[in-house]
Amino acid sequence: VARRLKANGWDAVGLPGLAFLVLVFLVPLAALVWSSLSDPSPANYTQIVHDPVAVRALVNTLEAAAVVTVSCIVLGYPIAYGMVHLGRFWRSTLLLATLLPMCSSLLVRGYVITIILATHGPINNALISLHLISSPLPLIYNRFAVYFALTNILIPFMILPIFAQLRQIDPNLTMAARGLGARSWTVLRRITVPLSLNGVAAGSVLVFVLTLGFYVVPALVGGPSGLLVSQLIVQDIQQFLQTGLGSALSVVLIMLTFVVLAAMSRFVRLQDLLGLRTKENSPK
Amino acid sequence: MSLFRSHSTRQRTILLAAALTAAVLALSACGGGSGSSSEHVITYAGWGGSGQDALTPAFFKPFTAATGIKVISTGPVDYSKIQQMSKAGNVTWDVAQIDPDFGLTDSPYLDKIDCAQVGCSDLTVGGLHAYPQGAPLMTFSTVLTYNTKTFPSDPPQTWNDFFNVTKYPGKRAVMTNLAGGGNGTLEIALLASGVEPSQLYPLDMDKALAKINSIRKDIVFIQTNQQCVDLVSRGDAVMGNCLNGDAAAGKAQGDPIAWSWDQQILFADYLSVVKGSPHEADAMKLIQWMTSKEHNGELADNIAYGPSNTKSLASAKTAKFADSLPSLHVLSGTNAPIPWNGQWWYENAEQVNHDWLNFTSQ
Repeated sequence: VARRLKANGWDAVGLPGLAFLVLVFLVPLAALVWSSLSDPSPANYTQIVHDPVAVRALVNTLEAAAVVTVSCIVLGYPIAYGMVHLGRFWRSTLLLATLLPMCSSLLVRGYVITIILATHGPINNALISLHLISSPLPLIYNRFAVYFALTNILIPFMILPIFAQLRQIDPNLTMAARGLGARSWTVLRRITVPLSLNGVAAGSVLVFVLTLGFYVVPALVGGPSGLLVSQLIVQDIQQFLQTGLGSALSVVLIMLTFVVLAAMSRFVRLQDLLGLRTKENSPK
Repeated sequence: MSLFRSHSTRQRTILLAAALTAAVLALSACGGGSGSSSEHVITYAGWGGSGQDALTPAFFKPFTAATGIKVISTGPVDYSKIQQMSKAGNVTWDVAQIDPDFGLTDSPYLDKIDCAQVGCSDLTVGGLHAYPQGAPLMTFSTVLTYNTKTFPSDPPQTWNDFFNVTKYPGKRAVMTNLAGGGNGTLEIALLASGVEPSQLYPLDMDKALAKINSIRKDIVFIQTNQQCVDLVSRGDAVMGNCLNGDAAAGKAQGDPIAWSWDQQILFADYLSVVKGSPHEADAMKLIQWMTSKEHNGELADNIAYGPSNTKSLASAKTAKFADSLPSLHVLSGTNAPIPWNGQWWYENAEQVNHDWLNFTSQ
């Protein structure tokens, strides 16, 4: 297919937006890289490698991203499945329940989670009054709270791609399988799940990458032992006034994100995820 | 013909859209212009919350009435902002409330305090002193704050009790962040290890961390000062090294908390002029006003933070919050207040913070 090279007049309307992006994204990004190399020197990077705290924060961050991604799959897949198979009422109810929280402030949701997980909050109180535990569980200001909160906040990014993928499965396939005597478990295992893996992969990329850079909510509900890179960056820049070191950590985090995206691109087409592939250039 | 017209209309629409966008960008770029420089207005950056709210009735209103200089109260103070605005030569904070761990002796980002104008030699409550670049404004302290329902009798009184989880079981609320001294957690750990108050500095980090590690599973790490009182009053922690002002405010609203004045760790907030401030003279006038013997005590009518000026102590005695002022509960002997050594913290900040982060992140 021949690509149209001639510029359309309307393309000019995109220029202010492009200028805006260059101004507020590319220029600061270049300044960030420059600061990491020059304030005071590229030794910022060796300092990160030799600092047990920075290494621990990087490991914690990857671990958090992995745990949150897995729990989003485990909890999100059944919801997406339910949306497709439970009929119109449940589809709209579940869709609303998935989308509505995204419309509220992240900060408010963070504070709500601190109340839910509080030592004398509803969960602990319920468990105690049911005599399941005798003293409150440590639910807040630790890694568990961070995983809990991020799963809660990011799960829509898992549910929606899986939902979209599940809806595309031809219902005739499942009917044919049943007609040939497959039990529902077999249908799920051999038809539905394999055909929806693209959605799972897309959701995983989104959740994993979003977790890598999350700051506000982990800072609210987490504890010091689960220190994330984003929190360390803020401390380096705001408290210790080591702008260069903080910039270097930011660059490391961005590189890490690219590495993850590159690795994931082996399993999922990133251009599908970003909507870059149009009908024109997609294979038949 | 019609084809041409529609084409030119389209081009005009495109131009219009581009021009509009450019206009909006240009407008927003010059929207931040400041007013005329002949007007006397200065900007004060504090730490926010009730501590900053109290400054307006105590100092800013009467200052403006007397001098005609308007004070814009903003915040919270952010050291990196001060650094950046001073470096960039675009200083929007004239006076900032700063802790000595920022460096108040030879900071390239602050002006010298004019001690000919500000009565520096009177600012010595509880062993405080003015730094070359910072005049102490007020005193506050970290006190052992406990839940009175958990400990109705024989409550914890000393920092020894704070680390005695056998006699006083339960969680301790401790600040995660060491900014501004982290409520003196390292200091109290050393005091509880038997270090003499006079030998406290330089802090023995290994010894302090070992002591804190001994009760690690009983520590709840918190992010803000307010959380200290919140957790203790709810019973989520049984005690904490909370700020006396927060504790007094909590008790006043009926929280089941009380505190001990034994070995209170005495802190002060300092007033500085940010280097490059376009209103340096007015800024120094405000600092002179806030620390003067006539006005310094007025803060205690608004919050439980005490004067730094020794000559204001008498008026603070009749202030609304006199019962809870650190400077009016100076015990003697081994229970005397321990002044926090901000200068030592400034000189050792990098190592201390690194050791602490390494400890807490494990």
